[in-house]
Amino acid sequence: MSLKNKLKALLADAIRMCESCADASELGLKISELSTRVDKPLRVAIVGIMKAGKSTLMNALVKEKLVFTGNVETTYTVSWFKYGEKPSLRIVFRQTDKDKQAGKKPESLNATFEDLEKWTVRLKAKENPQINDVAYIEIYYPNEILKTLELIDTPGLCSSYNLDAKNTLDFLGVKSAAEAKELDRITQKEASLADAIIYAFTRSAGDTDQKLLSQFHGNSLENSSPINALGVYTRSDFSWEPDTGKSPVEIARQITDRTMHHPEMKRMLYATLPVSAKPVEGLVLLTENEWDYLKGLTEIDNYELIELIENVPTFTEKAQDEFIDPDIKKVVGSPEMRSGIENKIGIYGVYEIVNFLKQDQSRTEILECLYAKTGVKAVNDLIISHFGNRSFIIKAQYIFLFLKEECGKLSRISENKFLKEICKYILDEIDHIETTEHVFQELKILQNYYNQLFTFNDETEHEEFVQITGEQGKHCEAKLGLKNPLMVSEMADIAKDKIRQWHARGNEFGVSRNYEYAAGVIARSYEIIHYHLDELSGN
Amino acid sequence: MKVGIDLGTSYSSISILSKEGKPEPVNVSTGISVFGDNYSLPSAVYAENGKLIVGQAAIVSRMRNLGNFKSEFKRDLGQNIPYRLGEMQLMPDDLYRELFIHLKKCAEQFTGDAIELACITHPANYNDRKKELLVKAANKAGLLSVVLLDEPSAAAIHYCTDKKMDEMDRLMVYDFGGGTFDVALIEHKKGKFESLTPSLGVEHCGGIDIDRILFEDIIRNIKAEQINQMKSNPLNLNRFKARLNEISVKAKHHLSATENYAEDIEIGFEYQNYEISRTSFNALIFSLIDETMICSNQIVKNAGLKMADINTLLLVGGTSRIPLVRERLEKMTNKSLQTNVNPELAVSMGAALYAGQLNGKPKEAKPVFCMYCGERLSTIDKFCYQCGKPNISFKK
Repeated sequence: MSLKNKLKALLADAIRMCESCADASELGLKISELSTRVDKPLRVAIVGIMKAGKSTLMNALVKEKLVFTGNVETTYTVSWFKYGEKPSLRIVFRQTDKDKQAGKKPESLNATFEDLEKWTVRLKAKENPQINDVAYIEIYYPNEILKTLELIDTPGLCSSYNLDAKNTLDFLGVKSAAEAKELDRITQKEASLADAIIYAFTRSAGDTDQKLLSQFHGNSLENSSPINALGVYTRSDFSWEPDTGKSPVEIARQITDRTMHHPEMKRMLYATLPVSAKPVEGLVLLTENEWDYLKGLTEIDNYELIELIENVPTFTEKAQDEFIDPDIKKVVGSPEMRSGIENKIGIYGVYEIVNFLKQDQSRTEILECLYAKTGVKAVNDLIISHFGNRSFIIKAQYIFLFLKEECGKLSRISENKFLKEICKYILDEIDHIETTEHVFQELKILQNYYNQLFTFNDETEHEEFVQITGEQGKHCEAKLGLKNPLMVSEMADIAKDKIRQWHARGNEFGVSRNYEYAAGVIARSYEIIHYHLDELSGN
Repeated sequence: MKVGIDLGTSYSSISILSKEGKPEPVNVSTGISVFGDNYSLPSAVYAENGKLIVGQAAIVSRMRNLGNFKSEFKRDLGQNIPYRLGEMQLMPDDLYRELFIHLKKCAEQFTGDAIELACITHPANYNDRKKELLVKAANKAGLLSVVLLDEPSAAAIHYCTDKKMDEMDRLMVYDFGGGTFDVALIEHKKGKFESLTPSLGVEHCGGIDIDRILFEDIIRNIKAEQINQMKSNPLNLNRFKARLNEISVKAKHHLSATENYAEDIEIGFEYQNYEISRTSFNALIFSLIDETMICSNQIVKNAGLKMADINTLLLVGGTSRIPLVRERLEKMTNKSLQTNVNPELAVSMGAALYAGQLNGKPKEAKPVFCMYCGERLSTIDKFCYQCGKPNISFKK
């Protein structure tokens, strides 16, 4: 039986048992809440301080303008993007504590997609005071990416408007300091509606790394571990200088590499990637006129283009007459046109698109190229490979943590004998699943690795570790790191060889205890693959 | 003959109950190794030509073929995919069976008597499935009459042989063993011990880890080129590693009794001096010890109690002999520690005592106290084994 089926069976049994015991009804409700999440796509929340470019990243990831973005703090409510055949909205209102205790379902309202702005944008709060009572908005949209991942856009964490920051914290299951004392870390974590988190962070010129790191401090980080959190350094193009000859993402990579050396970051995040999502977001919005204008810019030489876009004020404000060079003057157009374009794609976007146009690429081709070059594709790929392939195990681990905590507490404090029995049953089953499913051991060494409790000796070891723990897929070939499928017996031989290698590595001179443990777990992973291959080949 | 068996993550032991009702550990060593001693058998198995050898012999043989060796399999009990040791396929409970076979053989050779009842201990949080597997493994080894007892209770029973415990006394069992740390809170209730809250533990936190820390410290004191020289010859390197292992263990034991440890380490044809004071040793192991302290605090909190509510603190496991552990525990709990038990063997001896309280078959025995000397007895004891006077509560 697969882990998923085991988990489902456990939850179903637990719910049934809880139904027959009055004192267990609360536990039963919590478990049924959890069980609805088992089959759902992974929920990825994008969080960060205000103006960190969360909505821009979100739009760029789905290659569509779904969320309103702007120059001032914009997003007001938590927006939860789900796949739907037709675009539509469902607005879920906040509950009072009284209603929550009474077990009432939160009130909700269906609306058309056109109303999205009315419910999410801060500036609309005056027209639509009800916006203050919204807990979150479910947005259904026909976009392929949403079939595998549900994306959640959140208002800035240290927002000047306290209420929307509360929306985000509520959604993530983070309690205020006073409440947090009552609940412990794990419960908080489980209360969260998000399975995984992307931290968007950025910096303005002159900020120190320390200041940059401080953006991560705050309650919400209690919930993150390298298993479920990614960092994305957004707005890499913010202080981009065209004459360096490097793309903003390349430059920003130095910053992200440095931040990942910080032990605190390593403890919280799986990896940090730089993006400049604005050009991708803006590309789809360019009008035909603007597009033609950009095509006109291909007439001038690269150094002239660099001069033109040298900085934002030059590009957006300088009048046509002020340009001396006749070549530039011919194509430069009005400041209104220029500032409109800058607003959508930024000067970096202008630079890249003009250069792609010079290579005669079509609009769709340019979108794909930009998608890759601005780092958005890398983020997307990492979400799929890191969260995607492990999405279920991440979920299972959360569910187990929650149940252990909850049942452990109940069996300590409850007087009801039957409820104690239920808790014991659940805890025993979890213990059984955790011993029989080797994947939990693998998760443990992944965590140790990201917590820097050990390192690998070389790239090969690291690659094998990543493969065997399922980063590249759950199939035997992916786990063994094979490009092409081989005969079963050949694969069995490879696995056998790896078992031997990892045993030897774990016993090498002077290795740390954590490394030895990891090597043991990895050897066991190969042993299990070998066992299954052996069974298949009929030995 | 009745016996108590303690199967640990790293070490196992067996104690027999003498005719006088005293528990007595049995020599179970299978060879000479820095790991384990006469009474502590490393929980390790090595497959050689289709046969399995256990304990020190397995540890010594492991370097010949690492794929044929397995240790620390306690936490895997219940897994359904076998280990591959050489060409043999074995489940974790099969390895348990091998340990049982060896322990049984040693005890029977020692007394010349067959085992009529074995009390086997298990971690306090073992679920029913694991307990069942444990019993089956014992049955397969020829131990047919088996009772189970959790490890903290076994330690507590042993402790009670010379200390009187009052009703409702609360006991913290701080078990700092070879491979893991476990802590349990139990309450003395009607002569039995009841767990107050699920036990807690830390994996990879034990004597082996302390050896490892010392090992790493020794290497830091040796020049890299000297080690590289060794690396050119694998045989030398292995021998060197074994030697350093030995020194680490020796230094650890030494530093529990003295303030300083010094040794000239032979590297090739040269000697390198290594010296460590107890202060620097304490600094090295501080964070590891810290984890056990955090855990102990947590369990008291989990039970909704305060440190002051704990009546007795019982130290089990060889690693608890380290002075820093005792110092810090005393400071944290504000209590004098109970050191009258042998920390390595308390569990198996307690288990043997428990077996002794049962009349042949697994059966509840009511504990009573000797009216002459206060010794803890049970209703099945005809005579007090402390003062030898008749037990007035004896029931046929």
